[in-house]
This record gives sequence, structure tokens and C-alpha cells, in this order.
Amino acid sequence: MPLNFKSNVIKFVRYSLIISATAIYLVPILYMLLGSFKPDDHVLSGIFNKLQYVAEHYSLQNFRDVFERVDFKRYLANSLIITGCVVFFGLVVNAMAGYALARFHWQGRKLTLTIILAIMIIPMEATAVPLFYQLSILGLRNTYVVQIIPFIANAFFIVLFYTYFLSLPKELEEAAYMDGASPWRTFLFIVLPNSKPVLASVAILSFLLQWGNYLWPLLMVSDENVRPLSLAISTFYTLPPLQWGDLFAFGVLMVLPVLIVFIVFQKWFVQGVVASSHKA
Amino acid sequence: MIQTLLPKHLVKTRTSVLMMIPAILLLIVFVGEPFILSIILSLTNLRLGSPLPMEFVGLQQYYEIFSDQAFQRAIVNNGIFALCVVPIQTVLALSLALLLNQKMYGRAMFRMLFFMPVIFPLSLVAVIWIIIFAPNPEGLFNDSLNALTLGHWQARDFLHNEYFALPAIMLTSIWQGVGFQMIVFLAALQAIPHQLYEAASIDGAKTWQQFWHITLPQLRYTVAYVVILTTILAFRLFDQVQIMTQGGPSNASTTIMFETVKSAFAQQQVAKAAAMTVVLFVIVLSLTGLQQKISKKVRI
Amino acid sequence: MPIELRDICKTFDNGLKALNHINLTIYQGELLVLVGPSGCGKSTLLRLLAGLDKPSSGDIVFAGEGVLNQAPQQRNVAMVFQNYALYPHKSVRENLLFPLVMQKLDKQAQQQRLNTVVQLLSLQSFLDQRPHQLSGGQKQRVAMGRALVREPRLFLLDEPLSNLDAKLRTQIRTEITALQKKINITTVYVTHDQVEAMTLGQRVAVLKDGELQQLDEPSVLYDKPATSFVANFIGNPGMNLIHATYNDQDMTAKIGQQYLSLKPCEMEYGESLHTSPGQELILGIRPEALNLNSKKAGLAVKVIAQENLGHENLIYIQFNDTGIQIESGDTIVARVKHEVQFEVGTDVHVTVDATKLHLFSKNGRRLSKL
Repeated sequence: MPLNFKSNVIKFVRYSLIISATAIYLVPILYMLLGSFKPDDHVLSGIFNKLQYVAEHYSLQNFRDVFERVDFKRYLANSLIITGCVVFFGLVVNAMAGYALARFHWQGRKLTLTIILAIMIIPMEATAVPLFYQLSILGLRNTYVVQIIPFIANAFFIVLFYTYFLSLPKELEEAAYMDGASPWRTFLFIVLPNSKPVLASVAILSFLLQWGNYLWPLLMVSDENVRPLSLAISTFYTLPPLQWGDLFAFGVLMVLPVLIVFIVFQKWFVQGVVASSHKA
Repeated sequence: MIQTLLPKHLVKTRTSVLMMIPAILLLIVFVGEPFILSIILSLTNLRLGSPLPMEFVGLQQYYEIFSDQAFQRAIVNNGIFALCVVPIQTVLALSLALLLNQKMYGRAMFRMLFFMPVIFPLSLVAVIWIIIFAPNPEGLFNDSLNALTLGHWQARDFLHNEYFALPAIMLTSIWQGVGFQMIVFLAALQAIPHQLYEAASIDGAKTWQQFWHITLPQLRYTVAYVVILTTILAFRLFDQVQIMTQGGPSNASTTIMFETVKSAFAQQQVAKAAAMTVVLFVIVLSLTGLQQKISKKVRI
Repeated sequence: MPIELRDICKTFDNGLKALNHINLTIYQGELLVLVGPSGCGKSTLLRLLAGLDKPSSGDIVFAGEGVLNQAPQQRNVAMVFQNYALYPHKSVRENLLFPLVMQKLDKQAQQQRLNTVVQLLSLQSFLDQRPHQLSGGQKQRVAMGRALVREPRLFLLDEPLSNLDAKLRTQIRTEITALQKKINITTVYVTHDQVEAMTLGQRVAVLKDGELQQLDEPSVLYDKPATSFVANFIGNPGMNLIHATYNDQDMTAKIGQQYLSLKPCEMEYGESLHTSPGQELILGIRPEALNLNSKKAGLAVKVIAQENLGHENLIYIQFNDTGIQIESGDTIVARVKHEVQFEVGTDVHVTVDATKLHLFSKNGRRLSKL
């Protein structure tokens, strides 16, 4: 009997801890969510001010304001286009490279592999400055291209693909060759369909990396027509008048599409994150 | 290792080349070349808009940046940031992962909730926390502290206070990063075979002992990975600084990358900025090397 | 249209010499089995036929046409892999159709071929399932189906039964034999199990360390093994091999301190014996050719162990003489009727019918008519 009681107490404590931790942790998000519906002067009204919980003050006004003040749709479209392209072309380019490294004989294969492993360590920041100048001189500031192309090839993702393809039994590919498939067709129709885990992981990680990319657009983009959301939020912040409610509304709008994708593809997100840790 | 390759004669060299070329070209152009250029530039005195011609000055730039007060402060800040954020975030993430590592209702939901901030762009997180740190007494942070101290808290402007600026950024970063680490730890915890715990409890080990003798050792690699990764990210800190404090007040929250960007664009000091990024790279390289060493040492 | 392997040698990049001057002809419509212990080169040989590897030297000729430069896609050879290698993301139907799609066969022909194979291997009931939903035996049949749907001129099987349990193995073995006879396709079958080899093969090639030891019908392999290795490899338990020296004066084989009389005049090994008196030999005796008795007739041995198999007993014996070298293991095996029993540790005697002796030279080559 006492044993049962003890385990129940532990369970209770555990749940309480988790729930309180979660509650505290989510405060910023709730703050943003609630704040996006409140009139601007109520946003900073203290946590105990009853006024803010009165529903009749809530409205979609802030959201309307956002759309009126800036071209939000444009920013969203920009982010989607840029991130989408980086993810898609990244998958193609990095998967192909990972496969060629894992399966084909060619001169310099081992050397290339070593170099790619070395490149993984170079942070984006170490190349940002020269790239900025070079691409500016070429007149590529304020374009989609300059926000997409530099991020397509990624040494880390190549290694993720490489490790994964190594783990596939090569009999499958040999069977395909015997069945008359060329290396390209084997790659497209046999290998890739059986690589869903790594494709998902890389897609998700690549998406996360690119969606929040701030430094690069900061350097390369001043025209709001090609400005992505990650940059837009900070320029919106500096756009007078400073209205907290509108800012929160912007944040909610910005995060909504990603949140939906995340909730739907939760499993893949988690897997992607875990995969990145396994390589180490 | 060679066993995993397909027989040589089955695939023409042309196919291999075609598959590799896009990645190789892109990596050379956008990673390899700029990186080498960075190193070269750091050995010059290039300043855009200067009437003087560019010349090679050896390690001059490095002497200069290391004697620059702002850059010195930046390195210190990055170091403090790493020393504070890494342990706190890791312990929090591990604790949360341990709490969640049970068959329980809604585990997936809690997992998702904690992971949410990770998918928020850092710039958004920065803006949200600017509002939270609002200087008036009604600002969320001020008000909460006031409530906690039962009315004895004086409202402050955290982000413009030389003592609170960096900690404020730390809190922001911890909040955003815990979810990511937690997921990694959770996966690692779940990979520990159940039988180990069962054997231990048969051997008479209590919960705390099991944690110490089984859980922690099994997590060694994961902890090493997470710690090093977070440390590396700590040195690359930029977004929050740019948006929340602009490195101030008076360099109280400046970082290596912030100084780099400042040098490159506000001051047009290309060579100086290049030297700073090389320093950053060396730091990152050392940390990565350290992780490799630790991983090898741990493998008994 | 025979398929020939001419003087095939294969050395891998790491220096491993897998095949050493193999010469082999496979006749149209026959089922040839390649058998041998792990590492003997049988799978390597199969892969060379498939085109998945290239020989270091030698030639492979299909019906008079050299195929070395032809990719697997071009050779019209089909293979069943040891782990089946079914495409996991495709249904059974799609797996079967894949090679036809690659060949760009028109839809009607595809369906026709598909139906033929489905009928042949009874695959109707799981055509739309995925490989992971199938049992081992079912996967096996699908793998064969995918190979046969191409109507290849050579059908290769790489240890197809090794992943199945014993009962299933015997069942599918008979199915394969029936199938091969029915469609009369040239087949090369690789296995490490000599029982499988003996029951399946119309001809069997025994390989060891990359060399072809013997290529013959199963009965010939059993009755006239060309090397001591084949003699011991075939049969369960295999032939006993004992080192001895030939004594020309009284035409006996000296085993340790004991003598076994030979009958060189009656046996085919006679001539070789006479030409080199005093030579060292390896005596081969099948377990069933040994007669144990307690009457002190024959060679003196000691019983080391005994296994009661129900219908018969296996008795493990050893010579008291420690200097005797037994090639086939630690002990000599005798196969006796189940009524015959001996206590472990007793001293008994064993006689051998000299006409049932196989003689090999010291390096394992069969001594026969010159």
C-alpha cells in the first residue's frame, strides 16, 4: 500500500513540475498571442491588470494594421520562395553529392570527402564578409538569387546523406542494374524512395536553418520587395509608430504557417533534430 | 569501407562527375573561395573608400583587433555568454528530458510545446523579448519581478543597462534553445536500453544512483555534442545583439560577430572584419577539435 | 548455346585472390550448382556471370559471344540475391514489372509476361502487397518471379534458401527443381550446403579457395571424388581421410604402427601406386564402409564418442597411436546400424573393405588410372 502511495505522489510531483515548467515556458508565446488581439495601449498593462482579460477589447484590429502598414503578404511570399528553393535545390544537390561519394568510384573521392568534412566546421559568418562585397560588386544585392544560391550546397547535409546511403544495402541497387536501370534511374527510382528518413531530416533542418536566416538578408537586402520575414520583423520594429500590438500580430502571422507545418510533421521535425546529433 | 561502393565498371566516370559537380562548384564558390579570401584579406589593410592602396601587412590587423577595446570586450562577452548559457541551458534541457522520459499522457504534446520556440526565427524571438523587457513597470518582466518580490522591484530598462543587457540576451537565447537540446536529450535517453535499469535495480541501486551510474555515462556523447554545439553557437551570437541592444550600452553586449559587421559595414574596414572572422573560425575549430578529442577519450 | 568461363582469374583490390584459373562450361538448359565453403569464390563467380564484377583476366563467353564488355543490363542475365533485394517501396506487382518498365516493353507485353510469371510461381494472392508484408517463402518466390519475368538466358541464384527455415527449405528446393525443368532455363545455383547441391544439381562444381576441385554429376562426386577435399566435403558425415604410407613389399598401407592391406591389382589406383613405392598417401574411407567388431579383427582403435540418431549410430573412434594424422578432423567416424553399440572408451577393432577405399596423394589428388 505505501509503495503505491509513494509512486502516486511521485507521479503527482512529476506532472506538477512539467505543467508548471510548461506554463512558465510558454508565457512569452501566450503573451504574444494575447497581445496580438489587444488594443495597443493595453499590451503593456501588467499581468494583473484585469482590463486585459476582458474579451470585448479583443479584436483583429492589429492584424488589419499590419496588412495596412506593410506588405506582409510579400514578405511571406519571399520567405516561402527563398526557403522553398533552398530546401528543394538543396535536397537535389546535396543528395546527389552524398550518393556519388557513397557509391561511386572516382578519382579524388576520398580527398573530396575529407575536404567536405573539413568545410563543415566553417561557420557561415566566416564567409559572409567577402561574399557580401563580391556579390555586391556584381550587383546582386536585393535579389532572390543572392538569398538562395549560396545556401543550396551544405557540407553538413552532404555528410548526412552520405552516411545514410552507406547504410542502404547495395544489393538493391545491384538488383536494379540487373533489371536494366541506369545509375541515374537507380538513384531516382530505387534509392531516393527508400531514403525518406534522411530526406525528411535534411528538408526540415534545412528549412529551419533558412527560415530564420537573419544575418544574410540584413547584409544583402534593403528593398522590401525581396525582404524575407526574418528580416521584416526587425524592420517593422523600427518602423514608426511603434505599436506593440501590431508587432505581436506580425509575429503571430509570421509563425502561423510554420507552426501548422510543424504540428502536422512533428515526427519528422524531431527525427531531423535527432539525426543531426547522431552524425556527431 | 570500399565494400559499400558499387563495382567500378558499372558507373561511368561521367555520371559520378555530373552528380558531384553542382555541390562542388557551389561549395567552392560560396564557401571555399570566400573563406580563403577572408584569410588573405585579414593580412592586408583593406579599407573601402580609403585613398591609400591596399598592401599586405602581415599580422598587423590581428594586433590591432586584439588591442581594440570593443573587440576585447566582445570576446569576453562571448566567453561569459558561453559560460553562463551552456550550463544553464543544458541542465534545464536535461531536466526537462528526464521529466518527460516516462510513459505519460500528452508526452508528445509537451514535447511539441517545448520545441515550438525553436521554429521561431531568432529575429522574432528577439522582438518578443524586447517587448517583454519593456522598461515601464507594466512591462511583463518588470511586472513579474515586482510580483515575485512582493512589490519591491524597481522597474528597469534592461536592454539599455550595462549590467543587464547581456543577461537579458542570455535569457532570450536560453528560452529559444532549450527545446532543441531537450529533444536531443530525450531521444538519447530513450535509446538507453531498459534492461540496464532493470539490472541495476536488481543489484540494489536506487533512483539517484541509477541516474549517476547508468543515465549519465550513457549520455556522455550526447552531452558532449550538445555542449560543444551550444558553445559554438554562443560564439556566433549575432541576431539578438543586432536587434535588441546593438552591442550597447558602450559595448556591454557586443559580440565578435557584431563587431565584425560593424567594422565591415559601418566602418568599411574590410580587412579588420576579415581578421575578426578568422579569429571566430579558429575558436570554432578549437571547440570542434575539443569535441572530437572528448568523444575519443570517452570511448573506452 | 553454352556459357563458358575461360581461364577466369579474379584478384580484388585488397590483394585477395578470389578465383584462380577457372574453366567451366554451362550447358543450355542445365541446372549447375556451385558449392563450396565460405570464401571459396562461388559468389564471386556468380557475380562475374551477372556482370556485377569484372574478372582480372580470362573471358566469359555466351554462345560464342564475349560478354566482358557488356553491362549487366545488356547481358540478359537475371539473378536472385541472397536477401532477395526486393524493392521495399514497391508492391509485388510493381517489383515484377520494374525490369519490363526499364526495358520499355509495351503495356500489353508487360501484362502478358507478368501473368505468365504469376501463374508459374503462384503469386496471385499477394500481388498488391509490399515486400515487408510477405513471409520468407513468399519473398523468395517474388524474387524469382522478378528474375524470370525478363525471360533471361541465364538464371542465377545466390544461396536463395539460406534465410529460410529447414522445412521451408526442402519444400522450396523441390519447387525450384520442378520449375527449372518446366521452363528449361539455364541455371546456376550457388550454395554452401552440400546436401542442397547434391539434390538439386544436374551437375555440381565444387570450389575451394578459388579453384575448381571437381565438376561432375552428383553420383560421380560421391563415388569418385577427384580430391580429398571433395571426398570429405560431400556426404554427411564426410569421408574419413587418414594419412598413411604405402608399403610396396606387402602391398599394405602403413597407418601408424598398423597395416591395412590394399588390393592394387583390382583397384584403379593400382598403377599409380606401383610407380612410386614408399609414397605417402591419404586413405579415404566412407563412414559406412567401416565395420566395427570386438573380435580383434582389423585395426585396433578406441571408441571416443557415440551418437544415436535413431535409425543409425555414428561411432567416433581414434587410433591409440598418437602419430597418426587424420585429415578429416579429430576422429574417424563410422556409420553403423542402430543395434550396434559400443561403450565409450572401449578398445575395438575395425575392418575395411579394400574395394571401398579411395586413395589420394599427399596433396589430395585422387590416385587413378594413369
